[in-house]
Amino acid sequence: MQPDLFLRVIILILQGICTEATFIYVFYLIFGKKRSWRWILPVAVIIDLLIIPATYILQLQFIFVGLGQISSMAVNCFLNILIFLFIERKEERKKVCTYIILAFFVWAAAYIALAGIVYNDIIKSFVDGFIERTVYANLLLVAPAAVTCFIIAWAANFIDQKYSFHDVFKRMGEKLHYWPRIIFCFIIMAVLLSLPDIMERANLSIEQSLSFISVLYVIFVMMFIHLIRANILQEQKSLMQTEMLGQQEMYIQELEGIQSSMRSFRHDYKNMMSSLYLQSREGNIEEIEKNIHGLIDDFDENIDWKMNLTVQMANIRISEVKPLDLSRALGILLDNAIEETEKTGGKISLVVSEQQDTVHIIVENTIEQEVDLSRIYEEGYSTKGSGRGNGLPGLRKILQKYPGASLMTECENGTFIQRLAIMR
Amino acid sequence: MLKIFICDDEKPILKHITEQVKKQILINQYDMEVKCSCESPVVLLETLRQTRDRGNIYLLDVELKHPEYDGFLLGKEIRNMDPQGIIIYITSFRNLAFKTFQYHIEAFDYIVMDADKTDRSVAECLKAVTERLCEESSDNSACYTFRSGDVIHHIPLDDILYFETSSRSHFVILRGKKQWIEFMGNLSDIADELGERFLKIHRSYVVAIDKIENINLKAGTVTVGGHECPVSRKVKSELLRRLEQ
Repeated sequence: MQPDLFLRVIILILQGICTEATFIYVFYLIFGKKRSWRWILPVAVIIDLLIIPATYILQLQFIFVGLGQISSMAVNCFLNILIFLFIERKEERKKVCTYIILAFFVWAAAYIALAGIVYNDIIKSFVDGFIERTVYANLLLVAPAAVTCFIIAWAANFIDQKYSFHDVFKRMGEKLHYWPRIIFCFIIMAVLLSLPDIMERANLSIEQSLSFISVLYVIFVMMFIHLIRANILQEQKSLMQTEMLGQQEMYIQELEGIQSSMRSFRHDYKNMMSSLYLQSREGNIEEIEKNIHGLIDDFDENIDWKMNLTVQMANIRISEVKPLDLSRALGILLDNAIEETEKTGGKISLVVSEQQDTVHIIVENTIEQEVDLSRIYEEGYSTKGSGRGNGLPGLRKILQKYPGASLMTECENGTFIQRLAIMR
Repeated sequence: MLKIFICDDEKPILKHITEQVKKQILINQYDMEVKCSCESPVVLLETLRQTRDRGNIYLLDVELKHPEYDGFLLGKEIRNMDPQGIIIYITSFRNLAFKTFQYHIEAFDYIVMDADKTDRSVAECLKAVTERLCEESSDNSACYTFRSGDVIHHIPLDDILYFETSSRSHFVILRGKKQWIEFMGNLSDIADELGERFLKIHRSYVVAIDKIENINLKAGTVTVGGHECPVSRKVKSELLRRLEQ
């Protein structure tokens, strides 16, 4: 039995809610913002109620021209763009547009791919059987849409954990920065997505061509994501290598500094020794005492201290944490301590000690004002002005890679202590 | 009566320090006595093992030249046997490595052996010890003890604001008045261990009930230490009940 208009609208709306909700979910995964399902669902309902009338009317109008699917999808995408430009009005417009289009493409491709599989012949005949009996069974048609959307949402979440949609699509978004390119992609996407529709009009076997094209889409999208991901990783790697080289440069310079200090000290030492010899021949004990004392002090100050450090440091081996991450972590801790004490002339103490299986690195500095321990690990929180505050959260991110590393922060009596423990 | 243990392998220094300590006890009428004054760390440890006194004061030479125990190891051994003991180091120059002793052994202070400065150093040190002991006795709070790697932490329950799960899996974060510590743990176990004063209000949060500053029933959150923690619906009534107590 053919459902009447009212029922058709209800079915469309319900299907629309599922698809819109999944679309929003994918969009936010790509956009990089966190939205809970509790927020997404009501918004999906509202948007759906706004869009469905528009697309339905258009489908009716253009169905004779054979462009029903294209136009309804295009309008859907376009209206979504407008609505999200409003919702995310605080964000850059181009960014929102590009991400909506990308999200729409990903979502639509996935939907077309899966819908054919989920609503296959078996289920179709099953549902048709029910429809024979009562017109309300048409509502069952919502189920395949819902199931498909659920699978898409789940798969998107799964892939996001491995590949971070946000990072990948940010890349793509950067390439699409100009309006002409955005509009071009929009048109291409609309045409591609309507391919099944066009093929239907051309009377090809619907299910077969649908499944074939959709599988192609999925493979294409996955490959694309993988390639971009590899690209990102490559770039990160070369960045790391450059950083490491820079670090090694600095270390070599330090060593050369010590060497040249030693050379000049040797020169002074020789002079000292000669004058001491002369004085000993003269028998001037007091002078000799004074000079020897001075010699010892000089040596301690200039060479011994630095040499001791270099030798002592060599005793401690940290193999668990990669050198670059370790130097970054230490850098963050020390930068914070230095910045704090620079203006106030406070003290910093740094302890690196290896005990049994653990290497402890402790940075302690005096502080002027109380530190809010609950917020220092938040992104963007800083007492030093805007645009700062990424050091400590960055530190935690680095440490997350190493399960044997733990961090402890204490703030007491005008002293701020950071302890980093690295276990074998 | 506090017991004092002194150990230095150089006889003249040992003698001098012991004399000074006895003198200070006499002058200030401290409730202390020198229980052991020896050159060998083994003797000190043996004496300590045989007595049941704990919470003693120890004056140790930083540079003990014993094959088995140097100053650091002796301190560690004593710390193991006497967690509440006060350990003070005797050093011949301003030893910058003292920080290490502070962190790993919780050494209290150090005494510098330098001509005339020694006597004053000893006097000030003992004075600081008595002051610290006064503070401690009035501060009899229970602690939450846990391990993070090879370090054992004792955090006074009074200092703890809440625990939350960390973005690192299997790790939790302890948020205290003066601490922020990330360690391996499980919120449910912690909640069970801590008992009455704490409640697991959400699958990611265990909160100290007496530290709750503000409750927002509508939004389902409580504010502890300036941080908003969500409350799961199932726990709301339990939370209210506990708060009324």
